[in-house]
Order: sequence, then C-alpha cells, then structure tokens
Amino acid sequence: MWRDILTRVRSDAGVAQGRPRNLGNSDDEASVVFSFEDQQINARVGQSVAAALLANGIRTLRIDEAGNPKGILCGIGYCFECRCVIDDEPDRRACMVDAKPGMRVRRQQGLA
Amino acid sequence: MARSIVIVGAGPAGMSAAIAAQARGAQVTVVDEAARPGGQIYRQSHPALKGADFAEASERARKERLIGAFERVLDRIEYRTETSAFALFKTGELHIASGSRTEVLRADAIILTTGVREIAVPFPGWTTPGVMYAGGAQALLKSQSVLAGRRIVVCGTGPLPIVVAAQILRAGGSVAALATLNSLKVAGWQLPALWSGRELVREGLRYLATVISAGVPRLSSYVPARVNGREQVESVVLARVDRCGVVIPRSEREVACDVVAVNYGFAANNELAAMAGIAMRHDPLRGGWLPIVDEFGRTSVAGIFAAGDAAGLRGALVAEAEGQAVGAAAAVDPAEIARPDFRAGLAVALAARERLSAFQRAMQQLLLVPSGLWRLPTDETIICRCENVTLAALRDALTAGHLPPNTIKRVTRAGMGWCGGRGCLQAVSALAALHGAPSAAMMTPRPLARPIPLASLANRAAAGRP
Repeated sequence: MWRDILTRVRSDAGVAQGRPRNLGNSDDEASVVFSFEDQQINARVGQSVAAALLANGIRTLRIDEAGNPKGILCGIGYCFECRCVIDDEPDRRACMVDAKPGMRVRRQQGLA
Repeated sequence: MARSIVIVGAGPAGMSAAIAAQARGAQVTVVDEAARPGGQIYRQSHPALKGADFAEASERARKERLIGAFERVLDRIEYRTETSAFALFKTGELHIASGSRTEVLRADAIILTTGVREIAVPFPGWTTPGVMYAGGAQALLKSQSVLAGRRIVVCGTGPLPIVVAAQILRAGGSVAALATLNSLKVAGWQLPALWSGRELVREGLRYLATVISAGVPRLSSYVPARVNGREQVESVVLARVDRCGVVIPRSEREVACDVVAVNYGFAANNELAAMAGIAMRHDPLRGGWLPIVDEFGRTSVAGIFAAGDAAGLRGALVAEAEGQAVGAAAAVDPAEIARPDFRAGLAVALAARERLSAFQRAMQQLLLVPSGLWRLPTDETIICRCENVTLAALRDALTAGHLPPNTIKRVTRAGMGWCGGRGCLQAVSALAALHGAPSAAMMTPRPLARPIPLASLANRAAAGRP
C-alpha cells in the first residue's frame, strides 16, 4: 500500500497545472448536475457546492465589493468568504449548501 | 422532574457531555450547525460519498467510538441538526435558528461546547483564491473527498500543518513544501509531557514519516511572506524569520503551487459566552478570550457551563474527558457537585483530562506567534476580509490613537461584516498591540452571533422549555 501511495505521489510531483480533483473514480459517480454561470457542473451526491466547483476547477466564487476575487477560505462556514447566489438568493455559503440537481449557482458580484 | 440541559455543539465535548448528562437522567437537547455529529475534528462526510479517511487508524477508532456512543443515545435525547445558536443572555435565554425559523430555549443548564476556529497572520495576497486554512483543506478532503489543489504548500504553526500535509499525501495529492514556523524541537525535550500524550505523539510521528518518506521539502522557521497571482494562486514566496518573527533578508524562496494551506493556531468560539456576560480571561496559546471555568465547567453565570476547546484549546481527547465531567455536573443538583462521591465517580475522566492537558501544554509552545510576524502585511494587505479594511486604513486609525477594538471597529468597520469579526479580531488586537495598546481587550459582543435573516427573527416559535 505504501509503495502504491508513494508511486502516486512521485508521479504527481511537478503538476501545477490542471484542476483539483475528486478522489476515486469520481466521473463515474458524478450524479448531481447543476449550473454555475453558463457552465454545467457535475457533482457527487453529498458534495457541497463549493467542493463541486473546486473539483471542476472553479476557485473564484465571488467578486467582492472592491472587485477582488474570493474563494474558499475556512471550508466550514464561519468566514462567509464563499458567498454565492444560489437559486436567485444571494449570500448563500457555497461550502454549507449541498449540491442539488438543477440548482442554479451564480458568482456573486458585490452585494448580489 | 428531570433537569433540562441544552448543549451547543456536537463535537467531542458536546457529544460526550450529552452522553454523560443523559446517563444521569437529564432531559438533553443538542443543537449543532452541521448535518451530522462530530464537530470539526471528527467531521463526517455525507454517507453517499463514502469518504475515505486519511487519519491515523487510532484516531479513526476514537472518532467511531465516540460518534457510535452518541448515536446510541439519540433515541433518548433531542438532537437538532443544521441549527445555529445565535444569542445567549445571562437570563439563560438561548436563541436558535433553523431553516427560516427561530426559537428561544430555556433550560436548567446550558453547556457551551462551541469549539475553536482557525486563524492566520495576514500576508500580501492572502485573499487570492487558493489561499485557505489548512483545516479547511483538510475538511475538503475528509468530508468532501476533494483535494484542495494539484500542488499544495502547507504552512503555519503547531502540529496541524504536518497532519494536513500527510493526509493530502495519503490521499494521493502533491505537497510542494511544508513550511513551519516553530520547530518540533521546541516540544521535543519535554519528555514527561510527551510520555503523557504518547498515543498522540505516535500518531504525530507517523504523519511526519509520511511527509518525510514522500520527499516533501520541509522548511523550518519559514512562513508564507506573499502570494503571486491575481485570479488565483500561482506561487507563494516563503521567507525565513528570526526568533522575533522578522523576515531575514534574502531568505526568500518562491514555490509554484495552486493552493497555500495555512494555519496559525486557533481562536475560541466565545461569542455566546461573552454575550451572556460570563467572566472571561485571555490566554493567547489556548484560543484567546476564554470563559473562566472551574473544574466542572461552571462559569460565572449560574446555569451556564463551558467545556472542550471553547473553554481553552486542548484537543479532542481532553474535550471528550471534560465533556463527561461537565455533562455530569450539569445534570445533577448544584449542591451535589461538592460531594466527594460525585467527584469520585468522575475520577477516570478527571485524571485523563489532567494527563492529556499536560501534553497539550507542551505542544502549545509550538503555537507561539512572535510579534514580528504581524509586520508581514503591507499597506494594501486586507486585514478584515468582510469589509475590505486594509492595513493602511487600520494603521491610520491606530496612529490616531484608536486602540481599543470597539473604537477600531467604529472608525474602520473592521469586524463589522458578515463573519462578525471572527476572522480579523486576533489580527486587529495584535496590530493594536504593536501600536502600543496596553493589553488585550475584547470587542463588545453583541447579538447576533450569526447573520440571521429578519424574516427568520420575525418567524419565532413561542418560548418554552426544550
């Protein structure tokens, strides 16, 4: 098992490009489809909106009032940095909302 | 009639307090923000994700044992998930919100087991997407089965960065560097303390072995000094600091990465305790402002108890032991606590707390953040993320003599945003200290401890006993 893990670590070294990824055979298990902006996002059942977006290479969840891109910070709901517009409701924390089929998620710009 | 007890938080302390109080015949209600019990350290993934766990086997066993014991009492207690406690008053009124409803709970005893949150020393570029807390990256791994990035730099103080780096590696991820502020040697020679925490030492060494055998570059006394990249992290510049936390010139190294996972320790979630007017003390290595408690978790306000990391950072095992003692104390008539047989019945839990606290005290030397580190942010660095308050704006206020946190808040809006100051309060206090603020001071806690929609406040169920 250890040899296996180490081999994987080494083969991964130096890969800075590409997107973060789901663990396991995620593409087969992806069964929740929702939208982010104009993009179709495949998520796994039980994943949060933030985790699903991250696994699809999307890090900027919000553009704040000063124009700064913002993404996941605490991952547990206390920091409120990952606020998105979900089904037309602004200020929903992407890390606290489970992805649901047909959900419409937008990158929040400032207050809405 | 059975005593009614409300416990805020379902982490190790809360679960263990619930089990102990229920065993003594109390009518127990647990409120927790998560959908599943465990708190942060024993965070569980959605059952459909069947999330692999990359923690040590002994840690997984502890988690399963405690969560299992909690689940076995669920049919005898009331467990309210996805519920936030957003206000607590010294009258004993606890305000909770769930969905679009709010409610007021009153009980014979309230136990605060609200845990801690991660904090960081701000550095230029730390608001760039890709910079996250190390525990946040760990939460993505353990509850979401997602690696935070393709190439992750883990940094900060204490043992958590080592654990997170190892778990990322075990999940098949790539750690570009592990930069730690304090060397493990700080705690290394405190042998009696290490012996008392030997099961945790063993786990820590295994995590370290994972990092070493993967060949991850390890940099001691290095900190993230700035991040490059506008839309997302492209690289981090790590710099060596001296014992005062000041960056040593020409020590910088740039490391390409897409995630910087950082942890500079923890702050206690003390909002409810402070709001209730509980007497507090300041302990920088144990989470900042903490409710003053006696050995059975009693605070200065009758009927309100605190346990676990919320009463002082000491880790999950201490929290579990303390939860047992405090849950039992809350469940009995206050006069009974003074009786010797009450204490004797809790001897095992009290001894475990004592032994493991000694270990935690030694480890906490690793959490020291020297004051020079607060010179990392530059004029443009955002200190309060919610209100976009930069260091320059804060310094203008500080040099004008606005040193108490309440005044800084009024003048700059730092701490007034969505997170209620939980993200920036430590930084604001540390920067005020650099400008000569006499001693640590608290921001006056005000309701609400969580943002609650007005419609939910209006939609309030009748007050009553739980």
